[in-house]
Amino acid sequence: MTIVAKETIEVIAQSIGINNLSPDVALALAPDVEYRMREIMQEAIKCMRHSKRTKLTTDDVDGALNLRNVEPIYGFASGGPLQFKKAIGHRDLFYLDDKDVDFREVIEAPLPKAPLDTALVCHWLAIEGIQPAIPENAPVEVIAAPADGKSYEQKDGPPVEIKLPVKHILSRELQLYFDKITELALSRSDTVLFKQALLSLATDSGLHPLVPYFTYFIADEVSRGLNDYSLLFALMRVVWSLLQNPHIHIEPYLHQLMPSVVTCLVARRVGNRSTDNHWELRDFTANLSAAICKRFGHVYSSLQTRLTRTLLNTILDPRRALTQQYGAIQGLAALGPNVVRLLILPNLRPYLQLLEPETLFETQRNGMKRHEAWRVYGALLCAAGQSIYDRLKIFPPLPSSLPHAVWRTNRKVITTDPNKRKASMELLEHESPHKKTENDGPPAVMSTDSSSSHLQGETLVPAPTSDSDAGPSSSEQTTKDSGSGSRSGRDKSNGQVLKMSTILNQVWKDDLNSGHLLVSLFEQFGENILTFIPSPEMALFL
Amino acid sequence: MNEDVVVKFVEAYLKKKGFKQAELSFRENLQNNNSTSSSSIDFHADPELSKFILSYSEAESGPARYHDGYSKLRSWSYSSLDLYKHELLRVLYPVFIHCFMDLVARGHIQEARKFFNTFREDHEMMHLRDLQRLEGVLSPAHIEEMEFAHSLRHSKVNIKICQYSYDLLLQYLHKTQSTTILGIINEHINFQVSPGQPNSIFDDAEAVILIGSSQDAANQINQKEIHWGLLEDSLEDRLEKAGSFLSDSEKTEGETKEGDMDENKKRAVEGGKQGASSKKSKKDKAANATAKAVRPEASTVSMAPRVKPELSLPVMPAEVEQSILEDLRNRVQLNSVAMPSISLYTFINTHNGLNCSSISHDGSLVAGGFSDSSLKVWDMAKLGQQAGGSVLQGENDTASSEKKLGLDGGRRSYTLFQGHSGPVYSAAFSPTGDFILSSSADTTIRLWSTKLNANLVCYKGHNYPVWDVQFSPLGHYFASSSHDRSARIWSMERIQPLRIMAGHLSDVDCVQWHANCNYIATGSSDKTVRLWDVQSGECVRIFIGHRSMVLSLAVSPDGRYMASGDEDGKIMMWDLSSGRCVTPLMGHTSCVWSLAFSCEGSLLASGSADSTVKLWDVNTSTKAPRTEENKSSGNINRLRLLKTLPTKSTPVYALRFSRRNLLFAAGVLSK
Repeated sequence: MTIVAKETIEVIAQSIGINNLSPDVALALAPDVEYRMREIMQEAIKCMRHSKRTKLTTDDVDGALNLRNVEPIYGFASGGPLQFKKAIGHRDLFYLDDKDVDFREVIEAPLPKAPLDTALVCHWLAIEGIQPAIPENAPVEVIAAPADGKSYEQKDGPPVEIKLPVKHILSRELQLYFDKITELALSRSDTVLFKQALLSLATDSGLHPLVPYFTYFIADEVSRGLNDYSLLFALMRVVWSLLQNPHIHIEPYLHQLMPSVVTCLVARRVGNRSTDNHWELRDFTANLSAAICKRFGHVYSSLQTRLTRTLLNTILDPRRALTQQYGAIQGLAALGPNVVRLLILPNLRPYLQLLEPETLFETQRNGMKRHEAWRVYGALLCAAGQSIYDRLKIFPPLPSSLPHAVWRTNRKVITTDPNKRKASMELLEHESPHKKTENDGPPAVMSTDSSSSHLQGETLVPAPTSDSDAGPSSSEQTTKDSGSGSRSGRDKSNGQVLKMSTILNQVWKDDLNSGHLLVSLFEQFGENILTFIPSPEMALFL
Repeated sequence: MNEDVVVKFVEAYLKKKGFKQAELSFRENLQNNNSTSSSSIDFHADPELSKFILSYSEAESGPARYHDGYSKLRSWSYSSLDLYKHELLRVLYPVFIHCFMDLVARGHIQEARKFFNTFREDHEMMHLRDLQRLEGVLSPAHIEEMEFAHSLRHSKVNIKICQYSYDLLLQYLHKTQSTTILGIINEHINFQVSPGQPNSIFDDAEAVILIGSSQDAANQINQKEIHWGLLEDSLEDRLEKAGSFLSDSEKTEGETKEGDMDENKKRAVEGGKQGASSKKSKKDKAANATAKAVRPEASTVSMAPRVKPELSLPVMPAEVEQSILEDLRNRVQLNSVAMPSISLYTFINTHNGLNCSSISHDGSLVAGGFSDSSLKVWDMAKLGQQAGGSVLQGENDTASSEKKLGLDGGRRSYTLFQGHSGPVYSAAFSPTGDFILSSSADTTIRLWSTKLNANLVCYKGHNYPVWDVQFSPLGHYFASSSHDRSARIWSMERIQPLRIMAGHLSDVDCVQWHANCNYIATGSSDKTVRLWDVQSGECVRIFIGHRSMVLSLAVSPDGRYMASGDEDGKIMMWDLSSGRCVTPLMGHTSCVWSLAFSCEGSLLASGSADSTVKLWDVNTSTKAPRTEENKSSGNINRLRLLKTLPTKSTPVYALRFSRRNLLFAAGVLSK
C-alpha cells in the first residue's frame, strides 16, 4: 500500500533493539514514515534548487534535515553522485559499493594531489548576437540554417519577420585566414610560418565554413600544378591537417578531395625536375589516403574498395609508368597487410617477372628507369614483408639456441623474410648510389640517399629481428654484395629476386592455411613446438 | 427523509451563521406550517444546506461511492460535447483532489491510495507537482498538518464556466443521484457562471490553479493602485538634459543636428523612455530610422510616469554619478536587430560547490557563493593582466595555466571572504560595486566591503536559511527572502529589518526590486509572485500562473513589466498595473536561474540550467497588445525568441546587463 512496507518498519525496529513491535504499530507507522520522507525530500529539493543544481545530493538531504532541526546523517560526503549498484537477483534493490579500506594503506599512502583551486575564465559567448566559433563555445551547426526560418512561419502573429535562409556568408576574418593559408601553400610552403598554419588548420575550431573552399582550392591547384612538386606536397599537407582537425566535418567533401589525393599518389609525373623527391610525396600521400580510409571507411563502405580498385588497376596495367605503379603499391601497402596479402601477393610472381627486365642493366639501359624499377621492387618487398610479418607475429620469436639443423627448412619460412628484407634493403641502398653515380652524377645521390634511408626506417620498424636470427642466405648475400662490384651484386640479387618470389609465393600459400603449416610443424617437432605457440592459437589449431 | 431532522439542521445552520432574524422567521414559519405536508424550502436552492443534508444521508455508505462517482463523472465529461468538454474537464481536478482527501480524512487509506493511483494520470500533465505533494498524505493527521492540503480543504476553487456547461453539469449530477460528487462540488467549487459561449481553451492554464488563498482575495489585492513609473529626477532624466546639451555643443553636421533636435523633442515628450545616446543615433542612420518608426507609437502609449520616492534615497557621490552618466552616454542601443555582445564567465574546478554567482554592474567583479560557506570574489580586470592570453586557449590549457599560477605565486586569483557558517545561497553587488551582500543557510546576511576585503555587518533576523538577497537599484536598501516565508527590507546601517513582508504560503525563493525602489517583487515556492509596497509592507499584487517554484525575477527598466522564470523553464511576462500575464515565454527546458532586461528594456535575457542563454524580443511582446487593446484581441501569443546561445556545458547562473548594455553571464562548467 505504501512505499514503506510494514516489514521495513519491523526490520528497522529490530535494528534499534525493539524486538516486540506489534504489527499494528508497524502498520500505523509505515504511512507516517513515508509522509516524513516525502516532506524531507521536498525540502531537499528546495535546497538543491537554491544550490542551482538539478541533481539531488546527500548534502541537500542534510540541508533539509537541518531545516527540520533533525540531526543530519553522517558518513555521506557528496563529492559527486553516489554510485548505486544493482543487487543481483533483485529487480529493484540497489546498494552502495563500499570498499573495505585498510587503514595502514591510507596512512602510508602519499598525500593525494591537492585538487585544483576554483578559477574563473572568461570568453565571448556572443559578439553582437553572433556566436564566435572559438573552442570555448559549443560547436555551431553551420549548415543547419533553414531551421529558424520555419519555426517563425508557424506562428501567425502579424509583426513576425520571416527570415529566409541566408546564403552563408564568410566572415571577414575567415576570408583573410583563407587567403593567408592559400598564399602560404602556393608560395612559401617551406617556411616555419606554413608549419604554424598547418598546425592551426589541424586544431582550430570554427574553420568548418572554409572546408568547401579548401577542397575546391586543393582540387584546382592539384589539377593545375602537377609539375610543381613543392606545391603538391604543401597541398597534401593541408589535406592532412584538415583531416586532423576534430572540429571539421570533412566527410561531405571527401569525394572532392579523394581524386586530388589519388592523383598525387599515382600521377605519371609529379614535379618536373629530377631533383624533386616525388617518392617522398607518394609515400606521404599513401599514408594520407590510408588514414582517410581508416577514418571514414566505416561511413563510406565503398571508399576503400574504390581506392583499392583504382590502385590495383594501376599495378596490373603494364603500360603504366613505374612511378605510378610505385605509388599504387605504396598506397595499397599503407592500407595494411591484409590488403597486401589479398591483392598484391597473388599477383606477385607475374609482376616480378615483368619487373625483372627493368631492373637489369642489360635490358634497361636508362638509369633513371632502372632506378625507378628498383624503387618499385623495394616497395613491393616492403609490402610483402609487412604482410608476412603481420601474419607470423602470432608465433613467438624462436630462440636461436634451439638446434638449427632440425628445422632449418621450415624456419626459413618464418625468419627469412625480415632478414631478407633487411638484406635486400641494404642491397638496394648499395645498389642505387652505385647506379646513380654511374648515370646521373652527384645531384641525385643526396635525394636517393635520404629516400632510401627513409624507406629503410619505415621497414625496420615492424621487423624487430635480432641479429642472431640472421639467416644464412642473407648474411651470405650481404657479404657477397658488399664484396663484389655492382655488376656482380646485381646478378646475385637477380637470382635472389627469383628465389624470393618463389619463397614469398610459398609463404603466401602456407599462410592461407597456416593451420596446415602448424600441423606439419607439429608432426616434425612433436611436443616441442607446443611451448612456442601461445595457448589461444594452440586451442584453435588442435 | 425525516422532516424533523431537516428542520433541526436548518435551525442549526441558521444559528451557526448568525442569521437571527431568519432563524426567528423560520421558526414562526415552521410553527405556522407545522401541519402542512412538506416544508416549502427547496433543498437545492442553498448548496450549503443541501450539503449538510447530503453528507448526513450518505454518511454510512462506503468509500466505494467516491470511486464510482468520480469515474462516472469522468467518463461523462470525457464523452460530453466537444464545445463544452474542456470546461467540464476542469471540474474534474478539484473533484479528484477532494475525493481523495475525503477518503483520507475518513481513514480509508487503502481505498484512497487506489483511487489516487487509478486516476492520477489524468492530471499529471497539468498538476504533477501538486500530485507529488499530495501523494504522501496518508492519514487524517497529515491533512491537518500539511499546509497545502489544509489550505485546499478550507478554500474554494473558482472555475469559470458558461451557463450551458453549468446546466449540463447540474443536470447530470441530479439525474445520476451522485450525491457524493455533488457534495464535493458544492463544498469546494465556486462556479463563476458566465452567459454565452464557453471560454476558449487557451484560458485553461489559469483557470484551474489551486492556490491556498482564494482567488477572490487575489483579485481584490490586484485592484489596488500601484505607481509603476520611474523615479523623478533619475539619472536617465539628467542624461536627457545632458544629452541635449551635448548635441547642441557638438556641431558637426547640419542635417543630422536637425534630426537630433527632432529626437530630443520627441524624447522630451516621451519623458524618460531612455533612448540611445545622441551620438549613437547620429552615427547609425538606419537604426535611427527604425527607432523613429517605433518611437512615435511608444511615446503615445508608454509614457512612463514619474513618481516620488517613498523612501529617503541615498545620495550618490558626484564622481560615481559622472561615471554612470558616461556609461549611459556610451550605451549601445539594443533591439531585435542589434543584439548584445555576451561575455561568459565560466567557473572551473568548483567541485560541485558553487551555489550562486553575481556580477557587478560594470562586469569587473564576479562573486561566487560556495557550499563550503565561503564567498569568493574575482576581479576580472586584474585576472586579465595575470593570465593574459592563456585564457583563450581552451579548458585544458587554462586548467594547467591555473595550476601554474598556483604554483608560481602561491597566491589565489580571488579574494576569499569567510564568515558564514552555512552554504552561501546568494550574493549581490551594490550598484557602485563597493559592497557585496551574501545570504546563507546560517540565517544571516553579511555585508562585505570590496575595498577593505572585510566583513562589515552581519544582519540577523531571519529564522531560516536566507535564499536570496538583492540591493535596491540605488543601493543602501536591500531586500532578502527566506525559507521562513517572509521577505524583509533592510538598510545597510541598521541590523534590524525595516519591513517584514509576510503572506507567501511557502518559501520565498527570490526577490527583486522594482525600478523605482517603491516596490519589491518576490517569487515563491507557492508558485505565485507577489509585489509588495516597500513603504507600507502590504502586498499589492499577486501574480498567479506559474506551475512550479519561481526561481528568478526581473523588472523592466521602465517599471511597467516584470518577468519571472520557474523551475520548468517557463518565463512569464507580467503587466504590473493589471496584474495579468502578458505572455508566457516558452523555450527553456530546465530551471531558469536568471533573468535580465537590457537597459532600455527592449530585450530580455534568460539563463537556464539547460546551458543556454536565450534572448527574447520583449518590445513586440509588450507593445503590441497595447496597440491592439481597443481591438480587444487579448491573448495572441506575441513573444519572440530572438536567439538561443548554447554554452559548451555551462548552466548559466547569473546574468547582468552593464550600463553600456554589454551582457555578462556567469556559470559553472559541469561535465
